[in-house]
Amino acid sequence: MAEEIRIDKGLTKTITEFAPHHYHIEVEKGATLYHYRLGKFNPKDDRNSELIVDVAENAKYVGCLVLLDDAPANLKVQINLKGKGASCDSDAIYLGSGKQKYNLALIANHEASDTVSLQKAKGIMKDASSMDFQGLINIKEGVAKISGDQLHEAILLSDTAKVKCAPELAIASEDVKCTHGSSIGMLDESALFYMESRGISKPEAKALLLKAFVLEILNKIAHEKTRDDFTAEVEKWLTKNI
Amino acid sequence: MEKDKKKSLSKLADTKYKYGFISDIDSEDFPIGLNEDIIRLISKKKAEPSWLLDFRLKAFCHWQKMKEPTWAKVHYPKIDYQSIYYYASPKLKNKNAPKSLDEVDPKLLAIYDKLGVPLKEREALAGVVAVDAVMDSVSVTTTYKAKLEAQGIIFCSFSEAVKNHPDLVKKYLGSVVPYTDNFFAALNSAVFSDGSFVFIPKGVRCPIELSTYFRINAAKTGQFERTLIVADEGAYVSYLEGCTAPQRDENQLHAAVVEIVVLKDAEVKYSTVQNWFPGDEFGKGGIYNFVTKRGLCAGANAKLSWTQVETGSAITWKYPSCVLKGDGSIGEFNSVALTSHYQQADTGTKMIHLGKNTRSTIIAKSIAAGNSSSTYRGLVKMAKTATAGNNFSRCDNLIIGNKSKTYTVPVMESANPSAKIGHEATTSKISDEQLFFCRQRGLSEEEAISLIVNGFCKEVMQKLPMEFAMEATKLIQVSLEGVSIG
Amino acid sequence: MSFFEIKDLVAGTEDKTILSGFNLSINKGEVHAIMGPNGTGKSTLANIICGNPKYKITSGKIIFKDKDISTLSVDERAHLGLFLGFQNPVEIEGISVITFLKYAVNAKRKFEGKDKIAAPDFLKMIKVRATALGISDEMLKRPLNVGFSGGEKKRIETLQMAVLEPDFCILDEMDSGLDIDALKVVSDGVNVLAKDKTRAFLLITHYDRLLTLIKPDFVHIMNGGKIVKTGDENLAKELEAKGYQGIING
Repeated sequence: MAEEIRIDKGLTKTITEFAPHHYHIEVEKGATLYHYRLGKFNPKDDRNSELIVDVAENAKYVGCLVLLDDAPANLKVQINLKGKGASCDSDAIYLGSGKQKYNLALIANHEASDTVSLQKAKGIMKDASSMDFQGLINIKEGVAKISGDQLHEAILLSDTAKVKCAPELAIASEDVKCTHGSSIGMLDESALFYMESRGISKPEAKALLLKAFVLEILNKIAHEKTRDDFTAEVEKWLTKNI
Repeated sequence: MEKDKKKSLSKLADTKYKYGFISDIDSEDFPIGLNEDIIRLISKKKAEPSWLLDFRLKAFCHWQKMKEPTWAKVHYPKIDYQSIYYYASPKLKNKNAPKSLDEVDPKLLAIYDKLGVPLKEREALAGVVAVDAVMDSVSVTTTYKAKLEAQGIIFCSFSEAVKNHPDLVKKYLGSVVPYTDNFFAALNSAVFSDGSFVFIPKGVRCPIELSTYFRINAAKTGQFERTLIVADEGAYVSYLEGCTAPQRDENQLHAAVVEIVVLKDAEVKYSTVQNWFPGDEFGKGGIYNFVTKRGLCAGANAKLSWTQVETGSAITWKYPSCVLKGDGSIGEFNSVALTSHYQQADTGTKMIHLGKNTRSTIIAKSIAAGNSSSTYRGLVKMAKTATAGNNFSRCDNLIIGNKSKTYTVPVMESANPSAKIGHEATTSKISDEQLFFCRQRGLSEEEAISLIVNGFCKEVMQKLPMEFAMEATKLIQVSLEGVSIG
Repeated sequence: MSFFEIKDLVAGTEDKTILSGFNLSINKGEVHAIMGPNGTGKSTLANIICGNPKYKITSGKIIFKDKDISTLSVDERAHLGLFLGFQNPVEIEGISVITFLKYAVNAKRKFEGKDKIAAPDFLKMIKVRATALGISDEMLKRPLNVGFSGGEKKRIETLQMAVLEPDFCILDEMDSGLDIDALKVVSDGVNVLAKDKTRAFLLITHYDRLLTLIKPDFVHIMNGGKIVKTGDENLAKELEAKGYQGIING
């Protein structure tokens, strides 16, 4: 049961919500949608969330999805760049602890020329949590002047946490510039050492670096109140878990 | 200008396959098809011990229960396994293997000449390559056996190894690629004809590049070679594999298995320059290349590197892999895959990190032209035990023309917090700026594209042993253009 | 024979006309400079002369050595003796400077019906010219322009010009981003080639600085896609004093 939302021609709208569910959103010609979602699991909702966004000519979708322990487990964000000049900037942060299992798919379909997609996902996983991440930049045949970028970074904090990452590129057109980058690992040792050498304790340094890791995405949120609210929730999780 | 560009680009994808000739050596053929009797016949013909026949039969039994995989992004007409000859050996003057080159059928030698296989022994040690030539399914001759034997190095055909070193073969056969591994490995384990066997004893550094050439000749003869390479502790060997195939109308099946075992402190370098016939401009008649290649770094600090340049075969399905079991072991995969016309390639690598402090590097370059499709599929897995494991992969795709497609599917899995996996990929076309620049310096469009593609592949080509690198560079040029500026 | 002439050229991209009725005539042995505000089409002019497929000619002619070159391909124009010193030379991974030069030299020799150049002759030729331009052996081995500073890139452009010995050189903002030393090296390279008066040069620049080192016979001010004023080296000095608006309006 997907909720239908339409952002009318030329308008700019911001939606902030605390329980991602199923959506089909149409961002019409020249419109811009800022879409912020923080995961909080409502027992009434199912554990899945599917978001499909159709972006029309010269329209833009800017999204940020933050997943905490109580978020739905299976999420898909699919952005269809349907019109010439359409673009999207779609980010996700995921934080897992306990036995939380995530399955996240971030998809950008380039169906028209002159389209740009930016997708960034960052995650911190501890305890026995696990993430199965699929990223996809899909470029249709016959479109030109495409720019697609995808970045995924994950940090594992325990012996039992797991991350699987499959960033895919499916390209059927010549006139494209696509990059994707992925890394799974731990905090930068040299950064930790640097902070400790300046008198900061190891746990504090760890916390600071982890905070900086996710803050990079949170600071992009244009809407001030949303940014503050989301940052507060993330800091709460970090304080509790690090 | 755009029209000109399209015209030259389509000319570029026009491959003139210079090795396309058919040799009319009489093949000693088996009855067609596959069943238990054929397998017993193969084993009997090669006078194999019963344990090997057992191995084949078990594999065949298992194969019959398996389903052909369909997940690779390649499409091909269904293979009728019953309409293939599973054994073909060229008729020899003697029933036994020739003891010297004088005993080999001159027609055969002429073919090897055409292929550029150096069967004559060369005096100088520098740049010497020992060649274990495989013609269809049976090894014909082995060069330099004596010199290598003096150091305790065994380099011979698989059939010979079964006869002369059965313990070694028995110990390692199927230890890296069991017949249960996949559909084509099971088929191969049942009907494999011949291949190479290499054993380097403790602490020995093999002084020459080992190489093998083989061709598929008889129509409808699928080639199922089996190669086993074992490097004992502290040993080193560099092995080259290169092959050509004649022009044929029917598709030809090639399902090989290569197993490599690298023990403590040993190193194996395996290089492949693959030059199968890719099918004509309409995609008709090329080679189906389904290969399972895997290496096990069994001991501490073992090192295995795979380097490949793939430009042929109608359909390629291969994922050379490394299992990094020994602590501190290192795996490397360097690849250039060039597809044009209607070729389909689905290739990549698997790096499985099990031990501590293991390291792997993947550099994969693909160039897709014409109507081809090129898929890179990678798997990097850090098991729970892979403490301080480290991987870096880089996949770059170059698309030439508007009709080709590329897919990049790198999968990374980590279950160890101290392990690091890093991956970067880019896809682009040859930039208009680069083309314009080269042309303004007087290079034709074909020359410019060839130059840029060469630069694109340089990182991988540098890992090949020198004579191979030259052949590989030439191969890229032949596949890309009609005129070479050398 | 008409060495180089542009007649009533109307040209630009698919969407925009950039040159609107451009005229210019250059004789062998002459050094011309074109100056003008940003966006007025100077680089476009250089690219169009050399045949960059990004641009289209609507009407008009480009004559070089009595030939209408507007239908020739980029490399065909290069073989005739045309050279473009790029404003932002492109990077090509995996191909060293010296390897690239060899390809270019052999492409020219092929056009002239000659055999490929022998390796020792080639190396000797390169060394001499590279040393004169302050280019080290190490730089010659690096991949073409990858990670090179602006000054290094322009030295390599100048080296290519010295090696290929073209008849008509268009240098697109060769001086941008160069310090005094690099500028001197590049200018010396140009002056050496200009000395015997068998070639022609077209320098595109913003600054008088380059023109004090390479003496122009003619200076043209370009605006709105065509030449609006022509003078000698003094015009460049006047431009320094008055600025473009001063010259164009005054």
